[in-house]
Amino acid sequence: MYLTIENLSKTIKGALVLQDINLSLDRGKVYGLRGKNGSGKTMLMRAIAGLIRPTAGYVRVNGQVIGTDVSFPPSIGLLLENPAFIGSYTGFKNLQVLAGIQARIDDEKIRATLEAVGLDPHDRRPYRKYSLGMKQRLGVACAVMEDPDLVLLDEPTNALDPAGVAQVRTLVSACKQRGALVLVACHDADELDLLADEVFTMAEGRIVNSATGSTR
Amino acid sequence: MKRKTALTLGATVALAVCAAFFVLRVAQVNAATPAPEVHRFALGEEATYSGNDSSGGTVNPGDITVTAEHAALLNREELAKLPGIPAGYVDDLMASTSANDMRALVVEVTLRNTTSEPREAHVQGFKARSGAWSNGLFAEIYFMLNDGLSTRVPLEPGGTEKATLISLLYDNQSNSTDAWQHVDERTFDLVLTVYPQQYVINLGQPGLNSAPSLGEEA
Amino acid sequence: MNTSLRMMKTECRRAFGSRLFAAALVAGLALALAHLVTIAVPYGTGDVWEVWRGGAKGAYPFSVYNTWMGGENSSAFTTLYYFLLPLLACVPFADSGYTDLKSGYAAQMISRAGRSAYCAAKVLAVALSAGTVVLVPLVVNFLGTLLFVPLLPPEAAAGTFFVGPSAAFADVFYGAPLVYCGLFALLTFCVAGIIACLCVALAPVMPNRFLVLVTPFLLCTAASFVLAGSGLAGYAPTEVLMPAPRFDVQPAVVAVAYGLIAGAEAVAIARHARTFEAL
Repeated sequence: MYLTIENLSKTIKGALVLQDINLSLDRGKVYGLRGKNGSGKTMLMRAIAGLIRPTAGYVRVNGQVIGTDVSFPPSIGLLLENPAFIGSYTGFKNLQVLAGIQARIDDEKIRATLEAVGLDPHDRRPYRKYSLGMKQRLGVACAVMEDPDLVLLDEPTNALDPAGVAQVRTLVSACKQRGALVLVACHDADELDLLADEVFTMAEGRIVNSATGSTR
Repeated sequence: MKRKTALTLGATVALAVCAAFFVLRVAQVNAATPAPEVHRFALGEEATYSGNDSSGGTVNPGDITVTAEHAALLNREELAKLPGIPAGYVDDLMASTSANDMRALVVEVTLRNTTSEPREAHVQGFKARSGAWSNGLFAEIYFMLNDGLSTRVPLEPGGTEKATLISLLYDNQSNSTDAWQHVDERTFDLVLTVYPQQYVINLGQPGLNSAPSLGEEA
Repeated sequence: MNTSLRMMKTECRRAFGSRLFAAALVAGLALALAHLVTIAVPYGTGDVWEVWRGGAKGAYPFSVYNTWMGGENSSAFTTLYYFLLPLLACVPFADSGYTDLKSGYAAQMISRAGRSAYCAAKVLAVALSAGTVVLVPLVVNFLGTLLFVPLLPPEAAAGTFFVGPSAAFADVFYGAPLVYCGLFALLTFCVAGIIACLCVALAPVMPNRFLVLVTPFLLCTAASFVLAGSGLAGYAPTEVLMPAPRFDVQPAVVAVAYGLIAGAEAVAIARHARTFEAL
């Protein structure tokens, strides 16, 4: 399995935000996370990304334990809550800056990704002038542009119009087809059923249910 | 690309023009006020000087000569033994305990008027110097050592006059304890004028010399 | 080029390309220009100072070394510049650690480069931008002063230079004044970087961006007041950087004191990097 989570727990200021999570997820599939606000979806994604340290248990990605063998998964794309970018840069420049850190893709790829999410790569407006929907699209583009092996999308369809939602579905599908492991957290149960091969329900920091999605 | 090349070229040319202007202007400013022309003399050598004195009077080159006969760097005890210094004398800075230790640079000079008219040698304009330290004449002790001789030493035509110059040096004028401990090894100069001609008498290491023979002469 | 170097390049581009960097630079240059206009130009061309320029009455003319902003300590603009220096150093990029953490942008960077690379790049960019924004106005002022005042060597016997015999490196000033200026340029660059990196060290524990930005300035001002009147006044950041010192200091003590501050900041930042969690 590409992603294994064993007995993962996390306590923050005395509150147990993740309790005894056990998951085995494979590449080439889309997994959904469903649950109310505060159920632990975002925390679980942060733990997988190496952005928080487990109080107990571990996360293993591609055979490497996060926090021990590596600080973070070697090939990961993230969209966590509200996407954060530099306000004075254009959308293209923001992605260019982030892509430049690992230098895996070129400007053409960035432009193609922006077009795929419905943004104009030649738009000269700075990010701070983007609408909420445009910001969300840019966040999705940032998560998928480097063709990562692991894609974590937290509420990717927030603030998106139906066209945007369709574009996200297309992108998720494309990620699956190239063999990435995609984990999507979403309020919208119907949307998750469409997107995901398997859906996990979380409540109070635990996985309480698992169901097969309609994509299978 | 053409526009970018043109801009780069334009910027380069502008920068080059500015740099050229800068260099020319700096050269012009420095030509108008050049660095002082330094004339050096040794201990025992008859030194000339020229320039403005502190009262605005002009000294022409060679009118007055200065020969530094002897220089010594004395501690408090040695200074107290010089004739004319009253017993128990303590200068103001030492008395105020701002400084813990001092040295006195004592330079015996012979002044000569080479002209056919009376002249005055303004010795209060002569400065002692050693690296970053410099000090002028300490008038109070000068008068004691020179029997009340004015700091504007009168010189008859063709005449000579001897004077003992004194400058004080304190430990709080050193930037480290180590530097003060080696003060006796420092080299000193007597600077007669600073600009535009600078006349300097090299006094060597007066800390290694014995006290001046003022007592025997008295 | 590996990921760490690319991360450093990215952060440096952010730092030097920001509007705040430009604003701080403009502010510093404005003070430098004001000093030039009110001090250097009159000394160099004003009728009032004609007598001094010619060496009348045995005087030594003005030199760049006692006229430029770092060569004298009595003008209002020099005092203001060194007083505001801690703020100028922090404005360009020093609060970016805080804003990155709060906005979640740090998570984007860390997920691509790792904690250590991100923190190292942040510290480098903050330090370099702080040092640059503080040093450039001084260099511009020095070069501008050259256009009006001659580059006469400092003369101890003149009594008109602000570096006394008890000042640190005084012999260097009178022997090799450009080297002396270079030493202080280096010191200014380093101390500005240390001051700005204090913002990075404090970012995880401060409640808001404004406090992150002004805390180093407030601490430096407080240090000046606390140390004033004691034998340690010269060690306050606003005093220790002045090439025309008002107080005497021991270079070794300066090196140790600021080295310790830098060390403490490095330990704090390294600890934050190790324990950082994007909660």
